[in-house]
Amino acid sequence: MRFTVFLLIAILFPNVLVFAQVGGSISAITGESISITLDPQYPNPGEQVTATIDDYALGGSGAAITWYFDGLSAPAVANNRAITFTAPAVETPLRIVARLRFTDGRTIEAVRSISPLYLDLIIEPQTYTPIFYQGRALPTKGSLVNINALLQNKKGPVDSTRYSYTWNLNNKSVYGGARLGGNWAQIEVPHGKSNIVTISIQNERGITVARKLVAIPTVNLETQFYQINTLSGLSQRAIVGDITITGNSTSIKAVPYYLDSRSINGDLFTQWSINNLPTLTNSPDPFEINLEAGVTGRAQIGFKIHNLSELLQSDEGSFQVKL
Amino acid sequence: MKKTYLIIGGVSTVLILLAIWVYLLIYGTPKPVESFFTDFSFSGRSEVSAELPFVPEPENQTVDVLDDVPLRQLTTRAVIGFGEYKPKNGEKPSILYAEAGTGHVYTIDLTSGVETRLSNITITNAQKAEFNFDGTKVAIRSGYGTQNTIELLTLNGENSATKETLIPKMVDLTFSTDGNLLYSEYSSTGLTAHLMDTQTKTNSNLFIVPFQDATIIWNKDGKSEHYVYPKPSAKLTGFLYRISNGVLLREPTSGNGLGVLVNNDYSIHTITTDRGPLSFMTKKNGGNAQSLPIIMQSSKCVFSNINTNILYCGHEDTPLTYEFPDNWYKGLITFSDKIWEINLDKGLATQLINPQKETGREIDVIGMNMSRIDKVLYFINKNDNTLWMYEI
Repeated sequence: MRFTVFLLIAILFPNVLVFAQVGGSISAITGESISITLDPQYPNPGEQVTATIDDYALGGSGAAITWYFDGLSAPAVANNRAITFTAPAVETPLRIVARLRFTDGRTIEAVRSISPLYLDLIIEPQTYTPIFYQGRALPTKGSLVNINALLQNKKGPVDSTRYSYTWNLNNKSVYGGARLGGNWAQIEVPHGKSNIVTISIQNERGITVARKLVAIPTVNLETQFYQINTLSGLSQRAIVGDITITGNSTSIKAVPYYLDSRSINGDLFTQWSINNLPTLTNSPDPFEINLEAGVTGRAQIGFKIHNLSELLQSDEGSFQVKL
Repeated sequence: MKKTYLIIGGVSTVLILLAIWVYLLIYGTPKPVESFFTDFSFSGRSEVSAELPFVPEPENQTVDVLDDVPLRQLTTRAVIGFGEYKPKNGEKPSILYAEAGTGHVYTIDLTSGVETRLSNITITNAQKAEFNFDGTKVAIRSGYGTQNTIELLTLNGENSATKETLIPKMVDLTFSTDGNLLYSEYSSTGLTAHLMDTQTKTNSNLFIVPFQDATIIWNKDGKSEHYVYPKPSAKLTGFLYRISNGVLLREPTSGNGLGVLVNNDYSIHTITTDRGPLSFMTKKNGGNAQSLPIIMQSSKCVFSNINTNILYCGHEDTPLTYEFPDNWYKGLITFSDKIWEINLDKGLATQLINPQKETGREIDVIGMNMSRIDKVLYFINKNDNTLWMYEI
């Protein structure tokens, strides 16, 4: 572990590589006026962490600074008030010390220990994608998102019933406070610009063991068009720009990517148009249109969709048909 | 007299047609289009959910496998799954495939090129098929989400398959090398993975995944481990987990758009950054992730069965954006892949063939698979879901 930390420092600061062994003389005499802040505060294993000395009240700007990792000094970062290092492996403790030596000979130290756990926030938007789509759906304004906070130690996921989970969305509590075993949350994506979810996890002694912040990305409802093959179903190739009808007819499906799953069989307004004139399709599937070929020429086929329960979920698209 | 009238009439017709042609040339097509030349009407039918009509197919078609070219198109039908098997008395292996939409199963004798239909049982909306390793069974999934149906067909020869419906609603499924079914099904907040004995239909639990939108890399031969990660999206972070004795263990691999490919010695992962996708290689026995010069999409690549350092991929050297792979999954972008052999140990990438140059067709490779003795690559063209083979 020590070697890893040193190797990292050596890579980051190759020009000033001098190792010095410090024995057990370092004592944790963390003063009230000096501390180390970490960003992120609770890093995942292997994550890049920035450690910064906070000595605002002390006014130690003229002091010489020596950093120690598990008792080993890091001369390459000497006198840096902020340093970057890689968090150790899962549940591997690391003790970080910043020693300040003032011109009058006084020394003071700040100590910070970490023992990282993995905290993964797995976001599962509850919006629509077609069956051939191999990726994850994305959230739209007003749609639901499931989030699983997966806390793991060396042995795998922890027993979530032994931890309290506090969920916040844009600094407002999602469930009114901490919940024992509440590692899973469902939120409705708000309409504002910010969608910041924070999760804080405490153990049975009330000590915070992990905290994470994640911004939920939002996208707009997106309509794409696909040809339907009578035999094999939906094509996997979207219609980009225009299509040419080679046979007597073709069926086209409008696929509303990221439509709120709750509204798929609900309160939707859909409308097909040909050359901007609204058209009834008679099809039981409002997302499908069958086009029969005339003699020759072009036409613009359009499609509009509005989720009447969520006005921000709407889209319209079009494509050209050639014969 | 009569002759004169005929000549005058003919010349007049030619002149009128010439005048129309000149008018259209100068002034373009009259507007609005639909008023004059186009008649789009709506039949009101809906093929998507309709029962598909049985269309008699000519039996025992022949596929050209005798031509001495390494790259060959095996099917004109859209394919939802395929598998290679070696008949007990056959010299060359045969290929089995299931047709999209109908679920009909065919075999192609790779020696003679004769194609035979093994199952004429129609499975409407068939979307995914998995074959066992000796070519005697195929599991076909139809339907959407939790409403899906799994039919297990036993293949007994030409047009003589038998069908049984399996009870679990399987999200993902595959066969293990010993012929049992590995599958996942939805739980309230995730997935549960099981092994089904295809003889007794008894199930045993394998592991639990605490999320539903998961990609599972199944350990089919019992020699490796299962892996799982959330389905990729360029805008969402994915994390890789290894399943050890039924427990999820976090691997130090994560990132937006995460896609993964593993064998016993290597882990390949691709992530999406602000500048586009990047691929990395990590040796399993330790070591840091090393950047790879080409983008490896997991469904476009397969490891060699013989040399663990060798990887075969479909890849087109074209700039990709921060929206990959989402835009590819949607079919908004397509590739014209070349086939590459990549030696991970030596850091060498060799182009084996340029399909567009050889066939004039753009092949967007998915479902890349390797024959058991590393002789043939099989893959599907995402553009039309046809099945192809390439003899190495």
